[in-house]
Amino acid sequence: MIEYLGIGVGLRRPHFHTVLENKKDVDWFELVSENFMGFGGRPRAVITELHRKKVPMVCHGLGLSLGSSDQLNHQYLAELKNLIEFVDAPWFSDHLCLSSAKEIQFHDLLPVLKTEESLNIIVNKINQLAKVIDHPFAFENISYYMESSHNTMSELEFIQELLKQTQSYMLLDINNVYVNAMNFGFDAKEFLKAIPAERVVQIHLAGHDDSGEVIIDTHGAQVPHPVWKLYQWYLEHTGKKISTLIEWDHNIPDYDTLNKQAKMAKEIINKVFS
Amino acid sequence: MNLEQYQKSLVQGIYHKEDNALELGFPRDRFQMYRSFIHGHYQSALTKMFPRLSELRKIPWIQWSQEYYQDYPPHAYELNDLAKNFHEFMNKKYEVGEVKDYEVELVQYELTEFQVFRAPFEVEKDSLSLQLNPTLAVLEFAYDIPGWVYHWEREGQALQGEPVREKTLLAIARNPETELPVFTKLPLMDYIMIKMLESVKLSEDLFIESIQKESEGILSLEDIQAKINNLKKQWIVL
Repeated sequence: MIEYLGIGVGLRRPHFHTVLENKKDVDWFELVSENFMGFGGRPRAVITELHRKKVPMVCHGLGLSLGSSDQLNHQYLAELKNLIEFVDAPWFSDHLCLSSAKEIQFHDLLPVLKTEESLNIIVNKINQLAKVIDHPFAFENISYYMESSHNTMSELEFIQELLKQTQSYMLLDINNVYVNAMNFGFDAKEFLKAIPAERVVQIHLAGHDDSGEVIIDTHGAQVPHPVWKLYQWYLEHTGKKISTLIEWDHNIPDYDTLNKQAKMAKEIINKVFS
Repeated sequence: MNLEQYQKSLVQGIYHKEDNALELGFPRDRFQMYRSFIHGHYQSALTKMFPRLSELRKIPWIQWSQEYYQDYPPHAYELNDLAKNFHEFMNKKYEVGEVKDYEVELVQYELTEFQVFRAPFEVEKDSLSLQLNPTLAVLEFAYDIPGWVYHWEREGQALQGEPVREKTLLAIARNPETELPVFTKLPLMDYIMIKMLESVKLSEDLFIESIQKESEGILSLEDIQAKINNLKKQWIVL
């Protein structure tokens, strides 16, 4: 049973000083794994202090590239394992995507090819991961702007199969579901209903840019109203308190603004479960 | 299309701008979006790592980042590691006369500043010998790059003109208390002392003795002690 942590925010460099002084309405932090793996200096000092204060930290990576046929990188795994054990993360996560292929990094999240072959590779990788890192793993659904005509499964079918064939948990990004639903014209609620809620260990909420032809998942703005509504609906629908994180990676605001977003998430949880 | 073909085509399309969106089964405009996103991350990471050079050479900067992106697709998962070949890239530009030698030195300065900022800090506990700061980097420049940068920082505006041509030895080490890099221009004797400390482990007393021998008595014990104290003050020696 994975514990409920409450509401968290991403631990970002501009907020290091503030979070050590007073983390306010925030119950836990999410670390972008690659920003702390192998780093000394200030980043290491900050997580050491938070760990000493018993503040929960979860590691969220970008580099596993589950969807590529490249082998898992042993050096990467060793550094990731060190970090996870150092902060004693209750779980760790990465994206259901290709972040590299043929050993070249994209530094972006590209959609996986949704075929049987690809599914088998990801299942194997998740199983290998469990042998190396003895902490629960969750994969996150990404936002995407293109779907290959070579896919033989929908995103939902692919996720369902992955959950069936592995012991993995899911980090459900509600904003990504909303963005994809708007861009590709499917029903976000139907999608969410079809995900087994007992496997959802964490939720991501973030902002997006709805000013152009395509909605872009920017992680650079406040959580918009429709995403808050969908979040509330999902909690009511599942009847389950799920650890929730406010993601804000670009145009990072001052800590008070971020804290207000965390407070809003907390108010919704309190309202739903009062 | 199998996964192997899909991946190969993605790399070709993203980094080598092959028009293969349709082969991948993607609409052209959407694939172009990803290409722009990825190049944007690349450019922004380079700009953050080379704030002064990107300011100094605003006009070719976008072009350079595009060329670099194609010539050196990143192999490391850490975004900031993508800059590690930038010095080599600029050296090639220098060889064909596209950049000045001091700009190549500025790249070395900015890259090292970042590396020192993030380097792990591990010291030998209970060691009786003098220890160099594990984050220490020593650079040798043909120009006074630190003086030029200092002027830029002090004036709060972009670097003007050229740096003074003057052989400069620079130590960069991170202060473990503030976690910020400390920059120290090194006199030749201090440089020699650092080089000695890199090769031998000695207690402070033995080190002073051996430096005095090395200097053939020109430096007094007090002079050497003062130099060591200064290296400690600058966090070069712990």
